Amino acid sequence: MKQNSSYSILIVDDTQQNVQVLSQILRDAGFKVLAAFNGSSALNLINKRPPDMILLDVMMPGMSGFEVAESLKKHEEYSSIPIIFLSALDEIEAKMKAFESGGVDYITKPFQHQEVLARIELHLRLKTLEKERESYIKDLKQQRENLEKLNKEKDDILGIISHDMRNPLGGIIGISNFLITEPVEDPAEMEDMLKLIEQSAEKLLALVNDLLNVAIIEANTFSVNLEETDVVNLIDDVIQLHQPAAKSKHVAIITEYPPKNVMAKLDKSKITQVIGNLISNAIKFTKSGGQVTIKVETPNESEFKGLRIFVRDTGIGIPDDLMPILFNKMAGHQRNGTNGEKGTGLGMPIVKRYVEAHKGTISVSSNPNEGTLFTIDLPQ
Amino acid sequence: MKRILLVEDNESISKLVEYKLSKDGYNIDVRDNGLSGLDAIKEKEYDLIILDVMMPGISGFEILQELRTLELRKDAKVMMLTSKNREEDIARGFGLGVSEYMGKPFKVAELSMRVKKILAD
Repeated sequence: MKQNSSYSILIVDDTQQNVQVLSQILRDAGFKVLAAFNGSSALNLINKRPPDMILLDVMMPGMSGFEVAESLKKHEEYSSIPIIFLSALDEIEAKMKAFESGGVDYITKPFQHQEVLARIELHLRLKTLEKERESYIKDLKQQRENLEKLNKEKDDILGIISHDMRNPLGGIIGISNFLITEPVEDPAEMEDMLKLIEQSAEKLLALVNDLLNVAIIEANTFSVNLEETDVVNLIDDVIQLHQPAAKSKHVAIITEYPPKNVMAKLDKSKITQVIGNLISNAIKFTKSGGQVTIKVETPNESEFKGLRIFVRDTGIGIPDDLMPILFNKMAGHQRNGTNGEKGTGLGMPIVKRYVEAHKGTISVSSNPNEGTLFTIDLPQ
Repeated sequence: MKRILLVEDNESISKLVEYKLSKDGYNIDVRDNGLSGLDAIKEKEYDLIILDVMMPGISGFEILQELRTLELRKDAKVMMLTSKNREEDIARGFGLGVSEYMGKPFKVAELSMRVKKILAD
């Protein structure tokens, strides 16, 4: 419960003495007090400084208390200020009218000041509870919306995954069945078919591996095992893995390393996958004759103390609409490469999470048909 | 020689179908995405068009819908070859006037027979 001093209460009464007495009682109880002697100046004051509660006399020259209350109910921002009527009128009609016009309570004059205070505190408490309830409801609605969004994302990815899994499986089943039922005499044709089975199986394995990685990331059960690593060595190993794909597509891989050894504390397998995903994407989205450059920097004077790795290609670039969701998990934005190379659409989200697990950052810039540049900053 | 267009983004499947249907004596063209598939349809007249549904770019259903609005191609024979096998997908296909709806995974011998039957009609 908040302190009384954090509440301001407006007294509206045309009798100066009443205002004085009430004001004294409220100030003694610690409230901040505002006062007005008639309806229209009360409305002006409320406009300027909306109080937390209004004590409103009924019979006043000009606007009556009822009229003041009705006028306030028309304004959304003031309609929730609790109004307690204070009046010498003791008839049931007046009391009913007070509640109809929007009052929360009715106190007859002459009043006991303990009663006035008790009722004020009660209604302030109710008001606070009401506010809390509204904010809980808002939070719950927000949470429900988020959950619905996540659930939809999950459904979408399940759809995509089942398609992506069925596709290579369809190839494997279709070709095996064909080979069982029809004789293939030409050994070269037989080899083609077997290679297609192998490719499909490898595609499926890559997808399952990515899914496993994503599941582990999602469950937050992965940890990084940092060990002192020769960064250039690691990158060279990764490049070797991707050299065949680059060669067959006539994409050159160029490296720019600092003259000295670069050592950093890294999780080798995760950074291997990060660099591998970036290089394989760079090859995928670069046409024949293009190049992929991997550059390592240890900027000693920059604001960043650590290790910087650039992966730049001269490829087709990333479309604008893809940029904002590039690192989103499960966004289902799998895109074919320039030679129709397939991916799982999970590579970039994995890259981002692994870099972040090293307390590093990754950023991307891209121009259509000029190329894409990924920059990774890692603490050393 | 009858001409067949296959629009299919899964290379294993397209290679297999291409191999089998060529052996069966058809002239077959393959496209690996919706857009180039649609271009091929506009360019040439085919005796049969085989469409996958889920492909990058535009889907097989979208190709089919577009095809039905083309004056010269609107009566083309179409066969769907897809892992979208739910009843509503199949109904959608037949609503758009396909001659055959084959679910994946499929047996290539069965596909070959169905193609033969469609082209014999």
